[in-house]
Amino acid sequence: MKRRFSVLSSVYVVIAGAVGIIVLLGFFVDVEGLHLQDFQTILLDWAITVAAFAFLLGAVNVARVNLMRIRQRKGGLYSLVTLTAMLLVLAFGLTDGPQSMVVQWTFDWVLVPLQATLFSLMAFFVVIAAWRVFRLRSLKSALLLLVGVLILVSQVPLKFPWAEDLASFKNWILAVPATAGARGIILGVALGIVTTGLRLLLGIDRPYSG
Amino acid sequence: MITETQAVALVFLLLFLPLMLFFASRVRGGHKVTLRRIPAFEALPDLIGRAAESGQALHIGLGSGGVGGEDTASALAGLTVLGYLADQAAVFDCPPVVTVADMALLPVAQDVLRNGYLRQNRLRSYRPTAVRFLGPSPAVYAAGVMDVLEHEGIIANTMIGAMGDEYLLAGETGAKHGLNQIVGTSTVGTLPFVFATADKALIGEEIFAGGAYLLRLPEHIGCLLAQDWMRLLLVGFILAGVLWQTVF
Repeated sequence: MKRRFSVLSSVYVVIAGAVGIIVLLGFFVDVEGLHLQDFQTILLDWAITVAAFAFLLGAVNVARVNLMRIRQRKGGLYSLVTLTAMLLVLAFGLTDGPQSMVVQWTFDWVLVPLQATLFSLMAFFVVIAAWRVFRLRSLKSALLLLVGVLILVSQVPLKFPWAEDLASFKNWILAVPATAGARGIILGVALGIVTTGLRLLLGIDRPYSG
Repeated sequence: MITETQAVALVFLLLFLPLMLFFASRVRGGHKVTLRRIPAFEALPDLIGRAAESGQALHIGLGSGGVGGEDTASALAGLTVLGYLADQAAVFDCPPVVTVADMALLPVAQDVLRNGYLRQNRLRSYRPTAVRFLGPSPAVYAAGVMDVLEHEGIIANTMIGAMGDEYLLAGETGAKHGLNQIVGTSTVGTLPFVFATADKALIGEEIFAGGAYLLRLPEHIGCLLAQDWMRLLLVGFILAGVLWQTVF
Protein backbone atom coordinates (compact mmCIF):
# COMPACT_ATOMS: atom_id res chain seq x y z
CA MET A 1 0.00 0.00 0.00
CA LYS A 2 1.93 3.01 -1.26
CA ARG A 3 1.27 6.38 0.25
CA ARG A 4 0.83 9.35 -2.05
CA PHE A 5 2.65 12.57 -1.18
CA SER A 6 0.68 15.76 -1.22
CA VAL A 7 1.05 19.16 0.41
CA LEU A 8 -2.36 18.74 2.01
CA SER A 9 -1.37 15.44 3.63
CA SER A 10 1.74 17.11 5.09
CA VAL A 11 -0.47 19.84 6.56
CA TYR A 12 -2.73 17.18 8.12
CA VAL A 13 0.30 15.41 9.62
CA VAL A 14 1.70 18.65 11.06
CA ILE A 15 -1.67 19.64 12.60
CA ALA A 16 -2.34 16.14 14.01
CA GLY A 17 1.22 15.80 15.34
CA ALA A 18 1.26 19.30 16.90
CA VAL A 19 -2.12 18.81 18.58
CA GLY A 20 -1.09 15.38 19.86
CA ILE A 21 2.23 16.64 21.23
CA ILE A 22 0.60 19.63 22.96
CA VAL A 23 -1.98 17.35 24.63
CA LEU A 24 0.73 14.85 25.60
CA LEU A 25 3.05 17.57 26.99
CA GLY A 26 0.12 18.96 28.97
CA PHE A 27 0.00 15.62 30.75
CA PHE A 28 3.69 15.70 31.75
CA VAL A 29 4.69 19.36 32.05
CA ASP A 30 3.14 22.12 34.14
CA VAL A 31 5.36 25.14 33.56
CA GLU A 32 4.03 28.58 34.51
CA GLY A 33 3.71 30.86 31.49
CA LEU A 34 3.43 28.02 28.98
CA HIS A 35 -0.27 27.40 29.75
CA LEU A 36 -0.05 23.95 28.19
CA GLN A 37 -2.93 22.62 30.21
CA ASP A 38 -5.13 25.51 29.05
CA PHE A 39 -4.23 24.61 25.47
CA GLN A 40 -5.01 20.99 26.25
CA THR A 41 -8.46 21.91 27.59
CA ILE A 42 -9.23 24.10 24.57
CA LEU A 43 -8.18 21.38 22.11
CA LEU A 44 -10.21 18.73 23.93
CA ASP A 45 -13.25 21.07 23.87
CA TRP A 46 -12.80 21.46 20.13
CA ALA A 47 -12.60 17.70 19.75
CA ILE A 48 -15.91 17.32 21.63
CA THR A 49 -17.53 19.96 19.39
CA VAL A 50 -16.28 18.22 16.23
CA ALA A 51 -17.47 14.86 17.58
CA ALA A 52 -20.93 16.38 18.17
CA PHE A 53 -21.13 17.16 14.46
CA ALA A 54 -20.42 13.50 13.78
CA PHE A 55 -23.92 12.83 15.24
CA LEU A 56 -25.35 14.47 12.13
CA LEU A 57 -23.22 12.23 9.90
CA GLY A 58 -24.45 9.20 11.83
CA ALA A 59 -28.09 10.19 11.39
CA VAL A 60 -27.57 10.86 7.65
CA ASN A 61 -25.85 7.47 7.26
CA VAL A 62 -28.70 5.63 9.03
CA ALA A 63 -31.22 7.42 6.77
CA ARG A 64 -29.28 6.65 3.57
CA VAL A 65 -28.69 2.99 4.38
CA ASN A 66 -32.33 2.40 5.36
CA LEU A 67 -33.69 4.26 2.31
CA MET A 68 -31.42 2.08 0.16
CA ARG A 69 -32.80 -1.04 1.85
CA ILE A 70 -36.38 0.12 1.27
CA ARG A 71 -35.61 0.73 -2.42
CA GLN A 72 -33.93 -2.68 -2.75
CA ARG A 73 -36.76 -4.37 -0.78
CA LYS A 74 -34.27 -5.94 1.63
CA GLY A 75 -36.03 -5.93 5.00
CA GLY A 76 -37.81 -2.78 3.89
CA LEU A 77 -40.47 -2.96 6.62
CA TYR A 78 -37.87 -2.93 9.40
CA SER A 79 -36.07 -0.07 7.70
CA LEU A 80 -39.34 1.87 7.49
CA VAL A 81 -39.94 1.37 11.22
CA THR A 82 -36.33 2.44 11.97
CA LEU A 83 -36.64 5.61 9.88
CA THR A 84 -40.06 6.53 11.28
CA ALA A 85 -38.87 6.01 14.86
CA MET A 86 -35.71 8.04 14.22
CA LEU A 87 -37.61 10.94 12.65
CA LEU A 88 -40.30 10.97 15.38
CA VAL A 89 -37.78 10.95 18.23
CA LEU A 90 -35.70 13.60 16.44
CA ALA A 91 -38.74 15.81 15.88
CA PHE A 92 -39.90 15.59 19.52
CA GLY A 93 -36.33 15.97 20.77
CA LEU A 94 -35.78 19.12 18.72
CA THR A 95 -39.09 20.73 19.67
CA ASP A 96 -39.46 19.73 23.36
CA GLY A 97 -35.84 18.92 24.24
CA PRO A 98 -34.35 15.60 25.41
CA GLN A 99 -36.68 15.59 28.46
CA SER A 100 -39.70 15.41 26.13
CA MET A 101 -42.29 12.87 27.27
CA VAL A 102 -42.21 11.00 23.93
CA VAL A 103 -38.41 10.79 23.96
CA GLN A 104 -38.35 9.59 27.57
CA TRP A 105 -41.17 7.08 26.93
CA THR A 106 -39.35 5.69 23.89
CA PHE A 107 -36.16 5.38 25.89
CA ASP A 108 -37.76 3.80 28.99
CA TRP A 109 -40.31 1.52 27.33
CA VAL A 110 -38.76 0.64 23.97
CA LEU A 111 -34.98 0.99 24.00
CA VAL A 112 -34.20 -0.23 27.54
CA PRO A 113 -36.49 -3.32 27.41
CA LEU A 114 -35.19 -4.24 23.95
CA GLN A 115 -31.59 -4.03 25.13
CA ALA A 116 -32.43 -6.06 28.23
CA THR A 117 -34.12 -8.69 26.05
CA LEU A 118 -31.10 -8.90 23.81
CA PHE A 119 -28.69 -9.31 26.71
CA SER A 120 -30.94 -11.92 28.32
CA LEU A 121 -30.38 -14.03 25.21
CA MET A 122 -26.72 -14.09 26.15
CA ALA A 123 -27.31 -16.96 28.59
CA PHE A 124 -28.41 -19.24 25.74
CA PHE A 125 -25.60 -18.05 23.50
CA VAL A 126 -23.06 -18.77 26.28
CA VAL A 127 -24.37 -22.34 26.63
CA ILE A 128 -24.13 -22.97 22.87
CA ALA A 129 -20.62 -21.44 22.74
CA ALA A 130 -19.53 -23.55 25.74
CA TRP A 131 -20.89 -26.69 24.08
CA ARG A 132 -18.77 -25.92 21.01
CA VAL A 133 -15.60 -25.12 22.98
CA PHE A 134 -15.88 -28.08 25.34
CA ARG A 135 -15.98 -30.66 22.53
CA LEU A 136 -13.07 -33.04 22.96
CA ARG A 137 -10.84 -32.42 19.96
CA SER A 138 -7.36 -32.22 21.44
CA LEU A 139 -5.44 -32.44 24.69
CA LYS A 140 -5.88 -28.69 25.16
CA SER A 141 -9.67 -28.85 24.79
CA ALA A 142 -9.76 -31.84 27.15
CA LEU A 143 -7.83 -29.83 29.73
CA LEU A 144 -10.17 -26.88 29.22
CA LEU A 145 -13.18 -29.15 29.67
CA LEU A 146 -11.76 -30.69 32.84
CA VAL A 147 -10.91 -27.35 34.45
CA GLY A 148 -14.24 -25.85 33.31
CA VAL A 149 -16.22 -28.72 34.85
CA LEU A 150 -14.25 -28.57 38.11
CA ILE A 151 -14.81 -24.79 38.37
CA LEU A 152 -18.54 -25.24 37.67
CA VAL A 153 -18.85 -28.03 40.25
CA SER A 154 -17.01 -25.94 42.83
CA GLN A 155 -19.70 -23.24 42.49
CA VAL A 156 -22.49 -25.67 43.40
CA PRO A 157 -23.64 -25.05 46.99
CA LEU A 158 -23.79 -28.78 47.83
CA LYS A 159 -21.81 -30.39 50.62
CA PHE A 160 -19.70 -33.26 49.39
CA PRO A 161 -16.40 -34.75 50.67
CA TRP A 162 -13.97 -32.70 48.56
CA ALA A 163 -15.95 -29.47 48.49
CA GLU A 164 -13.33 -27.47 50.39
CA ASP A 165 -10.42 -28.80 48.32
CA LEU A 166 -12.32 -28.02 45.17
CA ALA A 167 -13.05 -24.48 46.36
CA SER A 168 -9.32 -23.96 47.07
CA PHE A 169 -8.48 -25.33 43.63
CA LYS A 170 -10.97 -22.93 42.02
CA ASN A 171 -9.52 -19.98 43.92
CA TRP A 172 -6.00 -20.97 42.86
CA ILE A 173 -7.01 -21.35 39.19
CA LEU A 174 -8.68 -17.92 39.20
CA ALA A 175 -5.98 -16.15 41.21
CA VAL A 176 -2.84 -17.63 39.63
CA PRO A 177 -3.02 -19.03 36.04
CA ALA A 178 -6.10 -17.07 34.92
CA THR A 179 -4.91 -13.76 36.41
CA ALA A 180 -1.36 -14.29 35.14
CA GLY A 181 -2.62 -14.93 31.61
CA ALA A 182 -4.95 -11.92 31.70
CA ARG A 183 -2.20 -9.62 33.02
CA GLY A 184 0.19 -10.84 30.33
CA ILE A 185 -2.38 -9.94 27.67
CA ILE A 186 -3.08 -6.56 29.30
CA LEU A 187 0.66 -5.70 29.38
CA GLY A 188 0.94 -6.63 25.70
CA VAL A 189 -2.12 -4.53 24.85
CA ALA A 190 -0.64 -1.56 26.75
CA LEU A 191 2.57 -1.83 24.70
CA GLY A 192 0.51 -2.03 21.50
CA ILE A 193 -1.48 1.06 22.50
CA VAL A 194 1.72 3.04 23.19
CA THR A 195 3.24 2.15 19.80
CA THR A 196 -0.04 2.97 18.02
CA GLY A 197 -0.14 6.36 19.75
CA LEU A 198 3.49 7.12 18.94
CA ARG A 199 3.02 6.14 15.28
CA LEU A 200 0.05 8.50 15.12
CA LEU A 201 2.01 11.35 16.74
CA LEU A 202 4.92 10.87 14.35
CA GLY A 203 2.62 10.81 11.32
CA ILE A 204 3.55 7.22 10.43
CA ASP A 205 -0.09 6.16 10.72
CA ARG A 206 -2.56 8.55 9.12
CA PRO A 207 -6.14 7.45 9.51
CA TYR A 208 -7.21 10.63 7.76
CA SER A 209 -7.27 11.60 4.11
CA GLY A 210 -4.05 11.96 2.18
CA MET B 1 5.81 19.45 39.89
CA ILE B 2 5.87 16.10 38.13
CA THR B 3 4.24 13.17 39.95
CA GLU B 4 5.65 9.65 40.28
CA THR B 5 3.17 8.21 37.72
CA GLN B 6 3.99 10.98 35.25
CA ALA B 7 7.73 10.38 35.73
CA VAL B 8 7.37 6.62 35.10
CA ALA B 9 5.24 7.24 31.99
CA LEU B 10 7.74 9.83 30.71
CA VAL B 11 10.74 7.50 31.21
CA PHE B 12 8.78 4.72 29.48
CA LEU B 13 8.03 6.96 26.49
CA LEU B 14 11.59 8.29 26.30
CA LEU B 15 12.88 4.71 26.18
CA PHE B 16 10.26 3.52 23.73
CA LEU B 17 10.55 6.29 21.14
CA PRO B 18 14.28 5.95 20.25
CA LEU B 19 13.97 2.14 20.25
CA MET B 20 11.08 2.38 17.81
CA LEU B 21 12.91 4.80 15.52
CA PHE B 22 16.12 2.73 15.67
CA PHE B 23 14.40 -0.53 14.69
CA ALA B 24 12.28 1.19 12.02
CA SER B 25 15.41 2.62 10.40
CA ARG B 26 17.15 -0.79 10.58
CA VAL B 27 14.22 -2.50 8.85
CA ARG B 28 14.05 0.31 6.28
CA GLY B 29 17.79 -0.19 5.70
CA GLY B 30 17.17 -3.80 4.65
CA HIS B 31 17.53 -5.72 7.92
CA LYS B 32 15.57 -8.96 7.50
CA VAL B 33 13.08 -9.77 10.22
CA THR B 34 11.26 -13.08 10.62
CA LEU B 35 7.86 -12.59 12.15
CA ARG B 36 6.19 -15.45 13.99
CA ARG B 37 3.12 -16.90 12.30
CA ILE B 38 -0.26 -15.40 13.13
CA PRO B 39 -2.82 -17.65 11.38
CA ALA B 40 -5.54 -14.98 11.48
CA PHE B 41 -3.49 -12.57 9.37
CA GLU B 42 -2.53 -15.38 6.99
CA ALA B 43 -6.19 -16.27 6.49
CA LEU B 44 -7.42 -12.71 5.82
CA PRO B 45 -6.49 -12.58 2.09
CA ASP B 46 -8.39 -15.87 1.55
CA LEU B 47 -11.58 -14.28 2.85
CA ILE B 48 -11.52 -11.62 0.14
CA GLY B 49 -10.72 -14.26 -2.48
CA ARG B 50 -13.65 -16.36 -1.32
CA ALA B 51 -15.94 -13.31 -1.35
CA ALA B 52 -14.83 -12.49 -4.90
CA GLU B 53 -15.42 -16.06 -6.10
CA SER B 54 -18.86 -16.35 -4.53
CA GLY B 55 -20.02 -12.83 -5.34
CA GLN B 56 -21.04 -12.40 -1.72
CA ALA B 57 -19.88 -9.67 0.64
CA LEU B 58 -17.37 -9.69 3.47
CA HIS B 59 -18.43 -8.08 6.74
CA ILE B 60 -15.78 -5.94 8.44
CA GLY B 61 -16.80 -4.84 11.93
CA LEU B 62 -14.77 -2.22 13.77
CA GLY B 63 -16.26 -3.13 17.14
CA SER B 64 -18.29 -1.10 19.59
CA GLY B 65 -15.46 1.29 20.40
CA GLY B 66 -14.64 4.54 18.68
CA VAL B 67 -12.12 7.31 18.25
CA GLY B 68 -11.55 9.89 20.95
CA GLY B 69 -12.02 7.56 23.91
CA GLU B 70 -10.05 4.80 25.59
CA ASP B 71 -10.73 2.43 22.66
CA THR B 72 -9.08 4.70 20.08
CA ALA B 73 -6.03 2.45 19.60
CA SER B 74 -8.21 -0.64 19.04
CA ALA B 75 -10.32 1.30 16.53
CA LEU B 76 -7.15 2.38 14.72
CA ALA B 77 -6.00 -1.26 14.62
CA GLY B 78 -9.31 -2.15 12.97
CA LEU B 79 -8.83 0.72 10.50
CA THR B 80 -5.39 -0.63 9.51
CA VAL B 81 -6.94 -3.99 8.62
CA LEU B 82 -9.80 -2.17 6.86
CA GLY B 83 -7.21 -0.26 4.78
CA TYR B 84 -5.68 -3.54 3.62
CA LEU B 85 -9.03 -5.17 2.90
CA ALA B 86 -10.24 -2.02 1.09
CA ASP B 87 -7.40 -2.40 -1.42
CA GLN B 88 -8.21 -6.08 -1.94
CA ALA B 89 -11.94 -5.38 -2.23
CA ALA B 90 -11.29 -2.73 -4.87
CA VAL B 91 -8.99 -5.05 -6.84
CA PHE B 92 -11.46 -7.96 -6.82
CA ASP B 93 -14.50 -5.67 -7.09
CA CYS B 94 -16.33 -7.18 -4.13
CA PRO B 95 -17.61 -4.33 -1.94
CA PRO B 96 -17.52 -5.18 1.77
CA VAL B 97 -20.08 -4.22 4.41
CA VAL B 98 -18.29 -2.21 7.08
CA THR B 99 -20.03 -1.55 10.40
CA VAL B 100 -19.19 0.94 13.15
CA ALA B 101 -20.73 1.88 16.48
CA ASP B 102 -19.20 5.32 16.81
CA MET B 103 -20.28 8.31 14.81
CA ALA B 104 -16.81 9.88 14.81
CA LEU B 105 -15.40 6.61 13.47
CA LEU B 106 -17.91 6.59 10.60
CA PRO B 107 -16.29 9.28 8.40
CA VAL B 108 -12.82 7.90 9.16
CA ALA B 109 -13.84 4.38 8.08
CA GLN B 110 -15.51 5.80 4.96
CA ASP B 111 -12.32 7.68 4.18
CA VAL B 112 -10.12 4.59 4.66
CA LEU B 113 -12.39 2.51 2.41
CA ARG B 114 -12.55 5.29 -0.19
CA ASN B 115 -8.75 5.60 -0.22
CA GLY B 116 -8.47 1.88 -0.97
CA TYR B 117 -10.67 2.32 -4.05
CA LEU B 118 -8.77 5.48 -4.98
CA ARG B 119 -5.38 3.72 -4.79
CA GLN B 120 -6.65 1.01 -7.15
CA ASN B 121 -8.25 3.59 -9.53
CA ARG B 122 -11.72 2.14 -8.86
CA LEU B 123 -13.27 5.17 -7.22
CA ARG B 124 -16.41 4.74 -9.33
CA SER B 125 -17.16 1.46 -7.54
CA TYR B 126 -16.94 3.05 -4.08
CA ARG B 127 -20.25 3.47 -2.22
CA PRO B 128 -20.30 5.52 1.02
CA THR B 129 -23.21 3.35 2.24
CA ALA B 130 -20.83 0.37 2.35
CA VAL B 131 -19.88 1.78 5.76
CA ARG B 132 -22.80 1.69 8.16
CA PHE B 133 -23.34 3.28 11.51
CA LEU B 134 -25.46 0.77 13.42
CA GLY B 135 -25.95 2.45 16.77
CA PRO B 136 -23.98 4.04 19.57
CA SER B 137 -24.63 1.45 22.28
CA PRO B 138 -22.98 -2.01 22.36
CA ALA B 139 -26.32 -3.87 22.39
CA VAL B 140 -27.66 -1.93 19.42
CA TYR B 141 -24.41 -2.48 17.52
CA ALA B 142 -24.52 -6.23 18.21
CA ALA B 143 -28.17 -6.41 17.08
CA GLY B 144 -27.23 -4.54 13.89
CA VAL B 145 -24.33 -6.90 13.16
CA MET B 146 -26.62 -9.91 13.76
CA ASP B 147 -29.00 -8.50 11.16
CA VAL B 148 -26.19 -7.86 8.66
CA LEU B 149 -24.79 -11.38 9.10
CA GLU B 150 -28.24 -12.98 8.76
CA HIS B 151 -29.74 -11.01 5.89
CA GLU B 152 -27.05 -9.37 3.78
CA GLY B 153 -25.66 -12.46 2.05
CA ILE B 154 -22.38 -12.32 3.94
CA ILE B 155 -19.82 -15.06 3.26
CA ALA B 156 -17.24 -14.20 5.94
CA ASN B 157 -17.02 -12.09 9.04
CA THR B 158 -14.05 -10.06 10.26
CA MET B 159 -14.32 -8.05 13.45
CA ILE B 160 -11.35 -6.19 14.86
CA GLY B 161 -11.57 -3.56 17.59
CA ALA B 162 -12.86 -3.06 21.09
CA MET B 163 -15.75 -5.36 21.94
CA GLY B 164 -17.56 -6.27 25.11
CA ASP B 165 -19.72 -9.25 25.98
CA GLU B 166 -22.15 -8.22 23.25
CA TYR B 167 -19.68 -9.68 20.74
CA LEU B 168 -21.05 -13.15 21.57
CA LEU B 169 -24.42 -12.24 20.00
CA ALA B 170 -22.75 -11.38 16.70
CA GLY B 171 -20.10 -14.10 16.85
CA GLU B 172 -22.58 -16.84 17.62
CA THR B 173 -24.83 -15.68 14.75
CA GLY B 174 -21.84 -15.94 12.40
CA ALA B 175 -20.93 -19.39 13.75
CA LYS B 176 -24.56 -20.56 13.41
CA HIS B 177 -24.53 -19.61 9.72
CA GLY B 178 -21.16 -21.33 9.19
CA LEU B 179 -19.38 -18.10 8.25
CA ASN B 180 -15.61 -17.98 8.25
CA GLN B 181 -14.81 -15.70 11.14
CA ILE B 182 -11.61 -13.85 11.95
CA VAL B 183 -11.98 -11.85 15.12
CA GLY B 184 -9.56 -9.85 17.22
CA THR B 185 -10.02 -7.76 20.31
CA SER B 186 -7.92 -6.18 23.01
CA THR B 187 -10.66 -6.68 25.62
CA VAL B 188 -9.52 -9.57 27.82
CA GLY B 189 -13.03 -10.45 29.04
CA THR B 190 -14.29 -10.95 25.48
CA LEU B 191 -11.49 -13.31 24.40
CA PRO B 192 -13.21 -16.52 25.65
CA PHE B 193 -16.22 -15.65 23.47
CA VAL B 194 -13.91 -15.01 20.53
CA PHE B 195 -12.23 -18.41 21.00
CA ALA B 196 -15.62 -20.08 21.19
CA THR B 197 -17.02 -18.60 17.99
CA ALA B 198 -14.22 -17.54 15.64
CA ASP B 199 -12.18 -19.76 13.32
CA LYS B 200 -9.09 -17.60 13.81
CA ALA B 201 -8.54 -15.26 16.73
CA LEU B 202 -6.26 -12.28 17.24
CA ILE B 203 -5.37 -12.15 20.92
CA GLY B 204 -4.87 -8.80 22.62
CA GLU B 205 -1.87 -6.97 21.21
CA GLU B 206 -1.90 -9.04 17.99
CA ILE B 207 -4.58 -6.72 16.64
CA PHE B 208 -2.01 -3.90 16.59
CA ALA B 209 0.34 -5.93 14.35
CA GLY B 210 -1.82 -5.65 11.20
CA GLY B 211 0.44 -3.04 9.59
CA ALA B 212 3.50 -5.27 10.02
CA TYR B 213 1.91 -8.52 8.88
CA LEU B 214 -0.50 -7.37 6.15
CA LEU B 215 1.14 -4.24 4.79
CA ARG B 216 4.79 -5.09 5.64
CA LEU B 217 5.42 -1.47 6.59
CA PRO B 218 9.00 -1.11 7.94
CA GLU B 219 7.86 1.34 10.64
CA HIS B 220 5.29 -1.14 11.90
CA ILE B 221 7.82 -4.01 11.90
CA GLY B 222 10.22 -1.73 13.78
CA CYS B 223 7.46 -1.04 16.31
CA LEU B 224 6.98 -4.78 16.85
CA LEU B 225 10.71 -5.20 17.57
CA ALA B 226 10.65 -2.24 19.95
CA GLN B 227 7.61 -3.74 21.68
CA ASP B 228 9.48 -7.02 22.16
CA TRP B 229 12.45 -5.25 23.73
CA MET B 230 10.20 -3.24 26.03
CA ARG B 231 8.42 -6.43 26.98
CA LEU B 232 11.74 -8.05 27.91
CA LEU B 233 12.56 -4.96 29.98
CA LEU B 234 9.20 -5.22 31.77
CA VAL B 235 9.73 -8.93 32.44
CA GLY B 236 13.17 -8.07 33.83
CA PHE B 237 11.64 -5.42 36.13
CA ILE B 238 8.96 -7.86 37.34
CA LEU B 239 11.56 -10.58 38.07
CA ALA B 240 13.80 -8.04 39.84
CA GLY B 241 10.81 -6.88 41.90
CA VAL B 242 9.94 -10.45 42.86
CA LEU B 243 13.56 -11.14 43.87
CA TRP B 244 13.72 -7.89 45.85
CA GLN B 245 10.50 -8.66 47.72
CA THR B 246 11.60 -12.26 48.38
CA VAL B 247 15.14 -11.55 49.57
CA PHE B 248 14.71 -8.23 51.44
